[in-house]
Amino acid sequence: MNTSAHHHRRVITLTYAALTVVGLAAAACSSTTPAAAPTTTPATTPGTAAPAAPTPGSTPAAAGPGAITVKLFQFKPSPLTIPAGTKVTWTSEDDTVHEPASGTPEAPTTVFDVELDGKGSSGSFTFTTPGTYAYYCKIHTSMTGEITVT
Amino acid sequence: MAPKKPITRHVFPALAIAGSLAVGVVACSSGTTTSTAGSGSSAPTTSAAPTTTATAATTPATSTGTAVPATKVSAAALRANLTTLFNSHVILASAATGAALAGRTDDFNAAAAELDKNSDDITAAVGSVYGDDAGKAFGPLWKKHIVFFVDYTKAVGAGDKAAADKAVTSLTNYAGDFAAFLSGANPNVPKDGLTDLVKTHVLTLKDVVDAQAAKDPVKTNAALATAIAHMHMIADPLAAGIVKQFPDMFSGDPSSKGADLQVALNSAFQQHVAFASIATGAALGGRNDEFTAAVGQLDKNSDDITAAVGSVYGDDAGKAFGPLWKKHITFFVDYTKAVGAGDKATADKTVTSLTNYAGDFAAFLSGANPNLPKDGLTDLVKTHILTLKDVVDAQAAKDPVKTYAALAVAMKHMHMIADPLAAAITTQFPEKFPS
Repeated sequence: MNTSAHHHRRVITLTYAALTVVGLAAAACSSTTPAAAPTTTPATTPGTAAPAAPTPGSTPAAAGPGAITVKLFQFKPSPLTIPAGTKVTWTSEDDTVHEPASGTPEAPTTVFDVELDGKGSSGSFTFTTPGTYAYYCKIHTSMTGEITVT
Repeated sequence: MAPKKPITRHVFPALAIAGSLAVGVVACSSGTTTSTAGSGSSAPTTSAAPTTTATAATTPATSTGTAVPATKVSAAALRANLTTLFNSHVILASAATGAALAGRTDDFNAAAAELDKNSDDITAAVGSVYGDDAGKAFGPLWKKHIVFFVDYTKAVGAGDKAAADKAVTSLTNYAGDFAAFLSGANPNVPKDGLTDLVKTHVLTLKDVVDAQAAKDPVKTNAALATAIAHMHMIADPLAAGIVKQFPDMFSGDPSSKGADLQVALNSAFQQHVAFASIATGAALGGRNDEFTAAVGQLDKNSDDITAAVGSVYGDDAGKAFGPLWKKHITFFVDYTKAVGAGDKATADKTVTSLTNYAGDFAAFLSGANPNLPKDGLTDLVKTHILTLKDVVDAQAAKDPVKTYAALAVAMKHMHMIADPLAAAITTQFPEKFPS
């Protein structure tokens, strides 16, 4: 690489590299606005996994084993490991719509599909069948996550 | 050469920062834009340099008889805007030389005309600091090196090595003349150092022309990126020298980390527009190799921007930002293809996708930084989309005059995103960006 371009790239990266990495604190789940009702679809995974009933969203989601925060277009924590029977609640801190759904953009499945309509919204699904569930945001398909049910 | 007039708030009209987000950004009014907190709907800055406004804008004398200086110009903004003026010089020069070597006469004429306007902007900037006479002397001197580059390009295109070598000699000598002018105006700018920097500018732009003549689009775009990246190395000492020469007229440190950030973001976003427009122009012109090469360079620029975000907000945020950022480029490619195919339905759909994207992009950044109101940022990104859309539309209409005018507007608009973003980050992390 030419020295000048290398210098310029160094200017950009060193400007920031001197900074400590600012990890985003996983915010406590809270839902101050009514959650969008997740789309309930019949489970297609083997076993008897049943989609959860829509949560009213008026009760703030507690930070628990099934809490996933959606912030800066990321699902955290991911991967997430939970025992069977755990209700997973996605709570969005992004001021835009997200829709975590099972599968991958190339191979979507119909285990769950949760609509989050903006900052503070939440939606849930109860996982009853052990297995590993890849999921993604149907709107922003580069957002991916994984849940392992034991 | 003594400065003729004190610098006023109207100096460097291109410095007008019309970013309208609720951050402590120093606004330097050019009279062409307004800035209100949270309005979020500022129009792109214009290129006109109203030299008639370069009058002493001192406030009424105090009771002691001492004139109070007008609002100070941000030193960081001076540095950033000199950088983007010089970057535009390189971008438009390479557009002109590429068009010339490809035999696209109308393109060449239009790019050369826009390059002339950029030269006038730079000249006006010098004149507003050092006086009209200095500006009148600087203008022809500045434009002369462009003539030498045209000569070089013609010689290379004709395979005339003797003429090409002669043009390179002229350009090398020019470096000394240019440095002599500026170091004569400003004792803080050493002639030898500036001569070397201008020689490097000459050589990096020569590399672009050589790659264009060799019909190697990958090398061309890489050389262009290098040539653009070099320009801040001239802008930086010039800005520092001017601030040192006129300390009462500028606020802040032009060499601060915050200033580094503002320059880096401005340059990166400006290059985003430049390489995007090269890609869309090549696509619409059916020049597939050029399109592929431009997209490759655009990708590298995207990686630079992503790395910058990641280094501030963490690797995970960078990994989330990257695909989000690149998505709007995909939408633009889709729009370009649709326009090229005359497919209005798809074109309209893509514009909708781009408009929605503006909200997502704003949501990401405002989620990362509370100093960035989402609505204002959304509007600024929408304007970016619309200004770049104008470039594509002009390219599709095969109107080179409109194309380069739209490109100049689209490039200039990027500071309206870069400046408040830089300011918001420095506000968010004051320990990392001490003023």
